[in-house]
Amino acid sequence: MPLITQVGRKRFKVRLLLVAIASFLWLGVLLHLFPVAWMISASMKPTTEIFNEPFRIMPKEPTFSSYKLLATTINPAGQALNVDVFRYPLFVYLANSLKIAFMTVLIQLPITAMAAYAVSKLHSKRTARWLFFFFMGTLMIPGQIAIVPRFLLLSHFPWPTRHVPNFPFTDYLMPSFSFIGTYWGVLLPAAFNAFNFLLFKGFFDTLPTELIEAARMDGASELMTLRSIMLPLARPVVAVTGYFTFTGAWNDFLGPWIILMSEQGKWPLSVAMYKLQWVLTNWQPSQGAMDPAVQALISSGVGYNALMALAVVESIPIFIAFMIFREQLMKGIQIAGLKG
Amino acid sequence: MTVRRTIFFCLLSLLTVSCSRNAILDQMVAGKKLKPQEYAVLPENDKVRYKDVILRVPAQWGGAILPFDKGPYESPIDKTVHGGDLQTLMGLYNQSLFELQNPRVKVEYINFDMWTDNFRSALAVALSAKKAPAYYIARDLPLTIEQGMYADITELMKKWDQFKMQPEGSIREGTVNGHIYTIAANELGATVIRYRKDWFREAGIFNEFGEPGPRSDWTWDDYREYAKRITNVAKNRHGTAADDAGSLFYTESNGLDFYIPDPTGQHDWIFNDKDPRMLDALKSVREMINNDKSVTYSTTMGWYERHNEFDSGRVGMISSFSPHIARDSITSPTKMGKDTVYRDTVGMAPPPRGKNGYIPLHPITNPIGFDPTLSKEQLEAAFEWCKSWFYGDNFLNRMRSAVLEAKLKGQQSEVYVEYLILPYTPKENLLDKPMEAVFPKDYLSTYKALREAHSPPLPRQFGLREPAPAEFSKAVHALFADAITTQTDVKELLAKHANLINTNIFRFGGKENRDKMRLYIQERTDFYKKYQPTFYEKDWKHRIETYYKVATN
Amino acid sequence: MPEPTPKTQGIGYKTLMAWLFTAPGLIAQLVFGWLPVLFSFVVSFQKYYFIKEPEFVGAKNFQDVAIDPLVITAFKNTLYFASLSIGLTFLLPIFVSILLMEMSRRTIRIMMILWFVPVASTAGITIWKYMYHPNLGLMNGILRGLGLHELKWLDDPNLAMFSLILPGIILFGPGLIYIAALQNVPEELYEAAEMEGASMLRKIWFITLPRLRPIIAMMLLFSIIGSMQVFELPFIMTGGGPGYATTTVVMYIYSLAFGGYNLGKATALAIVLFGVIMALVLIQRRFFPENIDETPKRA
Repeated sequence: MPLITQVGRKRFKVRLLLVAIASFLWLGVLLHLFPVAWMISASMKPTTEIFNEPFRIMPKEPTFSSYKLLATTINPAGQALNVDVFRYPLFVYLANSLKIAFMTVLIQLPITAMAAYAVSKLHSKRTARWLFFFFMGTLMIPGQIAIVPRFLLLSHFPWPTRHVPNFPFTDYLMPSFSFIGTYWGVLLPAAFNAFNFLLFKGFFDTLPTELIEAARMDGASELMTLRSIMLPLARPVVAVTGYFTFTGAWNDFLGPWIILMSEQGKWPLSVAMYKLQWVLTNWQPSQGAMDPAVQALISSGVGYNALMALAVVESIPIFIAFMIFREQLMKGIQIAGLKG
Repeated sequence: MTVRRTIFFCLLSLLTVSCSRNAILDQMVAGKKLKPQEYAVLPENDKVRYKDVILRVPAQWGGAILPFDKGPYESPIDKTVHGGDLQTLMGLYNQSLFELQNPRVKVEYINFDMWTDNFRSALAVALSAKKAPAYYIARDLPLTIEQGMYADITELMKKWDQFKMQPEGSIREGTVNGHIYTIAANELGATVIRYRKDWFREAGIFNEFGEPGPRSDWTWDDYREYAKRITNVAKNRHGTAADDAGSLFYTESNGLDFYIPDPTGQHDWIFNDKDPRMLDALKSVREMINNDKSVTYSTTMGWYERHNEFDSGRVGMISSFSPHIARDSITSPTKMGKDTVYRDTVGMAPPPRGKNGYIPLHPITNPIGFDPTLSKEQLEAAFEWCKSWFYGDNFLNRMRSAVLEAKLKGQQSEVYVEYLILPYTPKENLLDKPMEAVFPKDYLSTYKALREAHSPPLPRQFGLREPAPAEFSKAVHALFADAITTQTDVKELLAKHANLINTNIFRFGGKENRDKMRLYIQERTDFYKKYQPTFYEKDWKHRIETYYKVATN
Repeated sequence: MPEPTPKTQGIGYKTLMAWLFTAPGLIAQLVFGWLPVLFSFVVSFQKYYFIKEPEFVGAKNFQDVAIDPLVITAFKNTLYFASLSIGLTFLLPIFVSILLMEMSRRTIRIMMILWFVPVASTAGITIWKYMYHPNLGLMNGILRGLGLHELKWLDDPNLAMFSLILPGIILFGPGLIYIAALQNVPEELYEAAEMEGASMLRKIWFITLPRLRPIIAMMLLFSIIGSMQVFELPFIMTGGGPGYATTTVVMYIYSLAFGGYNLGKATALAIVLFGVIMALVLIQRRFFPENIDETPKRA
């Protein structure tokens, strides 16, 4: 609206320009939707059609067989007839993904919001400035630098060394926990998020201090103030951060892949997805070594249709999350965006 | 004060008594070797306490896990019983049987993913988190042995009556400096060629039995020639499908080594870019793709997709693993189309030889290593379990049930495949008809050749370090991928990759290993003299002079 | 006048509450944010074994990184990817967002909803891998349908990196954050410019872009850091191939650490990468400051 004034919109030239812009934008929308449509269509093709008529837009004989294949339970000693993705039926991976995503939101948002509130409203100016740099500093440091030390740290928490140290002058090991192969290994590093901290703090900064003072006067404790006055006001920001945290945790691949590598029963969908496409494409068995579950998978005739079915399943929950948060998102972005 | 002290002593004595009561009970059962009949009459509580040797068995290998959900049934076990899941029940039966045979052992089936692409770190993590199974597939040999990821089982192996039945290749793989770390699983196989018999018939290529297919002593040149002859672009048919691993055939069929002793003696090895045949290998692969047009190629084309291309009738010849071909002929006889018979459509041939008569057949089975942190009892139990699983009671029970199940379902039973690929001698023969009635001649002749083939000695036997296998094969694949996808001069490519491999992978060893190196080369020479005389005369003698000289000072 | 309750009295209470609120985040950030970063400097001077204690090896890991030709290849690839992705896809969302603002409110809403139909990340990458398949993929199908020469996409070392960027160009769309910022630009400015008879391009150049400048600077920063650390895209699409044509630095770090278990060298390389990214960030801040008052110079 701002570039072309309402008054001038009647002129033919301007109209032409508007139509051009609109069609350009609609083209973008269509191009964006096309891969989604292609994914859904391919997931409903039978395997023979994937190979013999690869470019059909609509499946000739739509079938849910690849979804069924992903969902059936398998006996790990693996007869070819009843096979799932690998060793677990699809719903296990789906449940894992949901678990990880929801737990991340539940852990990350309160911790981050509380820290942001304290830095914005409770600490003295001096402390707040130091804390701000403390919290934001890691945003400037590339995350991948810490892949290895974080992995070592998680494998015998809280010791970032390769081996757990002894108590001084004794042979007794200090206590340690291995978070490798557990959900905590994925959840704990995500307990605090600097970007969400920025959004929360930006929002709390805009709220007048009088609001808090008034609440204090009424005898509310700080937690009550945060819960019953600040958070209701911050609903759009909570929606935005919640949505981004949820999708971020849902999409995260490298973290779960490194931490949960050998625990297939705990894989989220993103890892299962990677693994399935890897078996279907790049995978080379080392001399003679061959996973029986993969042998069974091959005999079952899985192809790109199953891969696309898995992609559809992986995308549905974040689509639902988007539809739920849609209104709040549109509102929240206006508030949260500029304060970055 | 005194009251407190009295209470304290009372508590202490109570504690002592309660502890010693347990200790007395424990002495009754624990530490004493019970026979199965003695164990069977123990009260349940003592049975539980007596089982103190935990054996964690990977469920995919020799075990079974109950189904995940109970479905419409009362419980998962109901589902297996009423659903007719004999495989799982047989796993439970074998578990119980083994525990009765070895009363102290408690078998636990666990899920462990040992086939990830970064096996080494996955295993390292599992071992340090104490989540590893008692035994697992041994990959990345010998590096993982050097890093201490497997238990030394030399003593146990020497006591084993079927020790001699293991394929030579598997023993060589898992032996470092005279110590044995792995045993061979029960699936004897090798990389072989899977081909379309009907296409070979159309092209008029027949083997020594008069059936369509390559002769068993075919060469690399034949391979190229046949690939060209069965290619039919109009029908969308290609001779062969290559990923970058498939193109290693040339080097393999000529017995070329990718690394040779470092002539300067600074390090142990250098990349073998001096041999002119290495250049030929790259050129020949490139020509097959660009000139012959007999190859359908993609870097993202792995094992699975290669087989998909073959199964859907677009490719006539691929490298494959021999047990799969035999197994498919039993389990999915109509895989190649509803009106075809698998064994008459899909053939199995040994890999092509080199011009100088080198036989590139390396029979091997999945080597299995044991958790190094196991106690002595656990290790022995794991070893016993493996024996039972490979060819003992566990094996026979599974086979019997498979025969019955197949009969009920009106299918051909897998027992024939299992016996065809078994390296060991089972206690009982369960076959009711000869192998010849089940498998075509080319399968049987390839397996005969496999059983007779010998594997050359490896440097690790002499205490020499070898490059990390995963990284090295990745580097070699990158070389071939570059050769195929670019048009850069092959000489330049070879030099570039040799430099890369030499700096990244071969910077170890040195002068102190000269003697070991000499012993190793001598052993190889003896090996070729004995088992591959033509190759020795025509090729190795010359090669040893040119490329395998070990610096003397 | 209500009596102030004792628990809300005094500075001590307020500070205590402040630190209590900060504590969980503080600990999490300290343990999982800063400790690994500091510890990576220790790891980079050690050699790790599986069974034995780690060994202090001095600068050997850095020396290994320095002589490794693959490191140079990986950095070249990463810089190539970063410049391609920033050059080709960074500006698109800005202009799409500006154009989108011309539509009516209703159209914006509909378009935004359709545009942000999300696809999970690994799923999205896999779809494109399927699209690029030489025989079964839609990209070659379209080329074949148009009667054009088929391309090798991911199998062509010269085209592979561009193929990784291409989805970002084809799936162009607005950026949420730009739209939010654009809505805050006061309309009076445009009206004033209209009075003076400014053209549309001049309005974008002199009003919209200066207003967006801090956001653009921030997004550019994240974009540089992000694209220098690209991992999942090439890891899933090509696995680093063909040859080493798409092996990025982080992929190489990953394969050193978790494929080869060479933790020391991997961390040393990570520190080198950190240095390079910091240098790029400094350059970016030098030549593209966030300062809103400074009007952009004429091109």
